[in-house]
Amino acid sequence: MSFTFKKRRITNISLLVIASVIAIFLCYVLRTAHLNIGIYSGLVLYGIVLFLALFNSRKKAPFLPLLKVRTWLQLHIYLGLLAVVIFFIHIGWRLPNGALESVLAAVFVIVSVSGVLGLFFSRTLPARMHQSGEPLIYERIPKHRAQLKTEMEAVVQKMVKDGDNTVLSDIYDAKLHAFMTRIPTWSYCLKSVDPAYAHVKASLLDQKRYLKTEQNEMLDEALELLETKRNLDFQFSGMTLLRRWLFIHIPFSVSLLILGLAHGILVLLYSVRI
Amino acid sequence: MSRLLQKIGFKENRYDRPNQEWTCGNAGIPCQECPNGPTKRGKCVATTQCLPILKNDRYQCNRTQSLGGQCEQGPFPDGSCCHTIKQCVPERNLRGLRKRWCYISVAVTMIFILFVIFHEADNEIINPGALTSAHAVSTSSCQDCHAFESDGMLDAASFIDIHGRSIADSELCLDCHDMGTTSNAFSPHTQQASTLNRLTENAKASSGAIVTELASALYGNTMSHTGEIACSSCHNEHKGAAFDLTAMTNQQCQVCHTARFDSFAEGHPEFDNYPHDRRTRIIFDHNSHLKTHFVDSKFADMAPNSCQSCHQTTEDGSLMIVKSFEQSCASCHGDQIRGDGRAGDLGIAVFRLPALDTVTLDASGRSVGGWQEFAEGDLTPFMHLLLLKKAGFADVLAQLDGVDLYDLSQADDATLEAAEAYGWAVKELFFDLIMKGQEMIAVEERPELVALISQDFLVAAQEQWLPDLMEEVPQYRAGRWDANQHASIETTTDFVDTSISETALGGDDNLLSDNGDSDVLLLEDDSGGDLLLADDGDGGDEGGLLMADDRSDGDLLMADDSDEGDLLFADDNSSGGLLIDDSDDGASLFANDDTDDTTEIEAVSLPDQDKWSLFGGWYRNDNNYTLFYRPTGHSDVFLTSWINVTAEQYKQAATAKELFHELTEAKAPGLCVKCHSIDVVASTPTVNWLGAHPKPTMHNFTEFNHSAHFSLMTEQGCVVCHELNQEADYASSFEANNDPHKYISNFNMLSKGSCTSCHTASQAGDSCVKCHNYHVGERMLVLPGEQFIQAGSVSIER
Repeated sequence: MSFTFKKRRITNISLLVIASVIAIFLCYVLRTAHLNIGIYSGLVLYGIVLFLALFNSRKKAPFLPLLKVRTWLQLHIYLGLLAVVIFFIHIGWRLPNGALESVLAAVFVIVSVSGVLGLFFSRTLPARMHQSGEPLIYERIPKHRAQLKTEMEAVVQKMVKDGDNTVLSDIYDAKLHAFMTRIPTWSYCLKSVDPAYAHVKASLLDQKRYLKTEQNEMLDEALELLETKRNLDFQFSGMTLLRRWLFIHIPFSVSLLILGLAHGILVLLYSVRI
Repeated sequence: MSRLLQKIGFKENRYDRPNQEWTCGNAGIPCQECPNGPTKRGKCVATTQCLPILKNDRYQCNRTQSLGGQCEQGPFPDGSCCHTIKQCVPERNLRGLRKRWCYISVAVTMIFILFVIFHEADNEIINPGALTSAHAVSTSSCQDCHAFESDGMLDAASFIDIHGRSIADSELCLDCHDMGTTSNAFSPHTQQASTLNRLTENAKASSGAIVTELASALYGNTMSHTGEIACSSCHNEHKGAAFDLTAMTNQQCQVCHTARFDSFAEGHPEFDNYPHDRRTRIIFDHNSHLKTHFVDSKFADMAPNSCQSCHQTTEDGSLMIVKSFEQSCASCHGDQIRGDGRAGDLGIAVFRLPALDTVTLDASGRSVGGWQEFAEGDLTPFMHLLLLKKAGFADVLAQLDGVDLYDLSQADDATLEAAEAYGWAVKELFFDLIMKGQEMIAVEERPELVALISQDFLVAAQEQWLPDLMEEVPQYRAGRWDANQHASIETTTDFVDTSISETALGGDDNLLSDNGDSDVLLLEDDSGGDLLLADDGDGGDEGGLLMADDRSDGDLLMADDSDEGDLLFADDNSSGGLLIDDSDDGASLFANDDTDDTTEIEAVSLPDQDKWSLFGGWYRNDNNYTLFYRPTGHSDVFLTSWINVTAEQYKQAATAKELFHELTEAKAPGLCVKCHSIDVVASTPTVNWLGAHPKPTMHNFTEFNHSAHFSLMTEQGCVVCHELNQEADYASSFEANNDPHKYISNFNMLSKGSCTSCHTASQAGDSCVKCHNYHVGERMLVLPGEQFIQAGSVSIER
């Protein structure tokens, strides 16, 4: 963590805390003044959510001279956290019990939690992925997976042919093929161990003592392909997770904007207090 | 050790299009990947791996490096590529999928909103939260509380004018919640603007916490332009069934206040005349009772020994009310109300045959018929009040103002004419009382005003005082009364010589005849007085002259009372009976055969009627021709009702005023005002029949719960807080003072310090609403309008 990054984070968190305290204080003042906190906090909250939603649009228009995307991201993160504070002020620190309000609150919570998780993934996974093999283009991973499988098959066939030994082919059929063709789930990168990889690797290593020198070299090549496949799976899983969380965050954000607008109109329609 | 998979370089890699939504379905299959990729709509357009180019009249392969470069086979002679690509089913990439999810999300959301809008039970869906229990059961739809729903759709102006809408909605609150006068319903503390302005001027401006100051500034900017506060300003609904709608912080209370302070202990104004803002309704001098009466040996055994002997808490603990008269006062004061030991009349004169100079009237040809020569006194206020109902009687009284009706010898014709009308009015009143019944007395059909007066009682008096009344009044009313032929007969039964000379001896009465009743010797004379041994069967109370068996005075023979001038058969030594005497001389003219001559006959004398009526009620006094009512005891219905009636009419009728003052004199029978103070508000008196007592509909600004503080009392009891002021001139609060707010209390006022020791934020609490109400004044829950539409079913309509 560089000094600049650390300084920026401390600054932003400090600003977030100050903004939250001011928001809570203003809420107290408004309530004391018999003013409708719901309306004021709701308007602010909707404005923030609208601004946060613009981040996605900003990414699609990188040519616009509207601050750097990096700055937008920082604003997105910390305004999003501030929105959570204002959300709690808005709902009065209690669970809403109206049907529409409950749905809206649930959507907000989903968007917020997915955003926080996305932030967590984007802050932790890239470093781990960097340590686990080369950075890949996500769309090319299936091709790499097929390539590795083909190479593994070629190595095994050569070993069987040279050594006149069917043990390796049996291992391939029983374990190695499944490992080389598997498509990991999004949660794979969150696990610290890979039992399948360890099991297959152990099976191959068990044969090492029975192989000739030339065959051992091919075995090493197979082990290398095995580890590459494991890293490929990790990359695939990590990149899947880094993309899949947006499948929740963005669609629900759209719902949030629509429901929030409907909620605002209803509130202004029925509200008897400003 | 891992190996590198990805080669960087355009020759080694195909051109990826991650910004597009579709990818080739053969992307994972080596050598089958389409270099062009699907269209934007996801259609596979794969044909061959390359489009051979014509060069030097020969087709040459131009396959890209990523697919392996030029192939060995080369194109077909017709220029087509020999490596056809198997068409795939393009797949959406993550971007495409995400976009699709967004569309689905929008669609689902819009469907939900449309469902909300058009669903029949939209009330439940758009309901932002459950109502409190009380409101949940009393409302059925949004329009019960939201005015615009019943008025139709909002226009743009009213959509923006939330404050105006809030007042309109608050009006609906008043359907169930009475806030006193409608004009002040939304005023702060339900008070008039003038009152608020006065209080504001009285308050000293001071600063409070910064939160309060800021809030006050905000509040002033948003609300002061109307001066009205909507119910929703403080009561926020839709926050759950158990939500406290009345919760209020101290800062919220102070937002409107000119004088703001931090807490009850710090800055709250010192109490001003608390807890007494007026004198007591029941006049009770604690000082004199405690220091004089209760220590008097005559009353010591009846004296209370603690505050609780006379005081008790109300159900809600708000007041220490005085126990009932019977529990707290009767032991010493009970007999005083009935008049025991009282000098003069024990009862109050209600009806009277007033003085009237009938001799002069007769002489002037203005006879009013029979009258009592020795009648004296004026009309009682009761009669005055009743007679004023008679048309023209006020003029008669005006004419007779200052005239001595006992001697009209010097009166002019107009006065005599008025006196005649006066006499007839009195007689008509008696006549009507007998004939029409109790409704004559009962003003506004209040039965308590007649005190169960009976016809027999009135007839007895009439027969004694005005025996020909039942003939005279009908004749008078029929216009057949001839004054010259009906000279007034002075039926003075008090004197024997008159009776004898005018009735028994000189009259034309029959002797020894029997009228079929139980008379033995003589029947009644014209004037109603029996002559000898009369027993008219009606009770024999018409003033027989000889041996009358009634209890009235003036009997000549065998009268049984001793002090009315009996001549014969007097039963005591003082009256000097001639025939039967209780002395030992034995002379008896009409001695009873069953009686032993030697046995002394003790004829008992009747006690005075007022004394006989120990427990009150109606009685008659023939000495002054008056019907009295003696109070039956505490809370006498007759007296209290008449006092209330005359108080109500105090400003309208002078006679009511006169009667009110007569009934509320310090020494008036019943001694009502000895203890019950009179408040005069707007020139209308009100007698405080009750001490301070809880009024459920009244909400005071400050409330106190005595019950909650009992645990704090020491052996001193109530004195812990209520310290007796031994120097207080309590009685002066009631002397010539009808303003209840000018007073001197028996007790020292409470100071704030007596409360602040416990009422802090950390102990007993110092919230404003712990002691103060916002909505002050008299109010009560209003029942919604209801109407029976069918037997057994009720519909509620607004």
